[in-house]
Amino acid sequence: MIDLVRKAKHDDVNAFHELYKLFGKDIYNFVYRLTGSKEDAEDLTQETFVKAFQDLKNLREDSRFKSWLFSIARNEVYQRARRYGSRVKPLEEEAIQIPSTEKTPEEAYLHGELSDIVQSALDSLPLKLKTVLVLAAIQNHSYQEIAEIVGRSVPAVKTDIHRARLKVREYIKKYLSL
Amino acid sequence: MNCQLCCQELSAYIDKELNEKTAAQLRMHLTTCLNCKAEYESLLKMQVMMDEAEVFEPDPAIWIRIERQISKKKADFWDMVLSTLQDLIARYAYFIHTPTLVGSLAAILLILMTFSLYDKYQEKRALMAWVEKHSRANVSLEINPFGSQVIESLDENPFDTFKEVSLDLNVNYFGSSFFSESETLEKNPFSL
Repeated sequence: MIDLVRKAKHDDVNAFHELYKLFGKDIYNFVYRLTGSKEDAEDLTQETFVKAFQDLKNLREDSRFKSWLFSIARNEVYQRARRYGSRVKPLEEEAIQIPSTEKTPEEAYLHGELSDIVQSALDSLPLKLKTVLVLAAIQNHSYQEIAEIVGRSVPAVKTDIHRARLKVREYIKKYLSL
Repeated sequence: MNCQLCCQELSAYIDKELNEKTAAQLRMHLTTCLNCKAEYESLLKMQVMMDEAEVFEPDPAIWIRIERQISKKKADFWDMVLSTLQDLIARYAYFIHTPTLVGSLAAILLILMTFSLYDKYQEKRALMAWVEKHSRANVSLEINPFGSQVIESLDENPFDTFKEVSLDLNVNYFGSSFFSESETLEKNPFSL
């Protein structure tokens, strides 16, 4: 990976394509879970990689490319949330909660659509908690990596992940036996 | 470990982020506390749901759009450089005095030629120093950087230990064959 990053830093588009093959799917799924919209996920994945290619020369440690890429994706989602509000949940917990998926959790459960249930539960969270939970529980990043991505300390990240888990559990508990 | 601490650490335990000592204490507590065990199983069940949640494949067209945008941005950069140059020329063309411009360019060219010839002169000196060292002969070199004549005189045969020698001196000014000169000695010019 480090070799590909070095090549991509010298405007090697083929090397950057290899990096896209490595991380494109993860970034897409990360962004999709944050926005709850495939259209937004496609746009934001595209914007993330274009921005990454442009700013790659500013990356000091090539080995941290993955965390750096995820932090760009996170910033893109946050910027869009600030700019448009749209489907992305606001940063503050007090904000009004508008689930992005059309089905209610009961409907989703009846249709056996586990992914929709998870998405509805995630959409009930403020963006800050949703980000760390998606990275930890769905994308299996270490707490250290998550701390780098969101720019906070490991203990703060750990606390937020636990809070997010409890909130999601409360949300799902209404419909499923947990 | 008490119940409060156990519940605080459950998420980190599920995510395998606890050190071995704390994890062992937590496991021990779970064997004795039914409430904490129920809490753990509930969170674990939720984690299983998340593990089983669908992973989506991105549309292959995303990369095509990324590549197109990257190329466009690169092209945009050079367009910007070119248009800035054109703007500058258009803006200051009125003030440019043609003889001054030609004179400046000639001066720049002369400076570049001087540097290039000096480099070649240094290369030749190094070559002669090598010949002198290995032949134990006295070699003198005169070079006129602005002329085509290169005068080399050897007061002693540097090649007296060899029957035949081949020596190439190739001076390539500005990378152009037009200015290059080459000397090849197929036979020892100093042997009888």
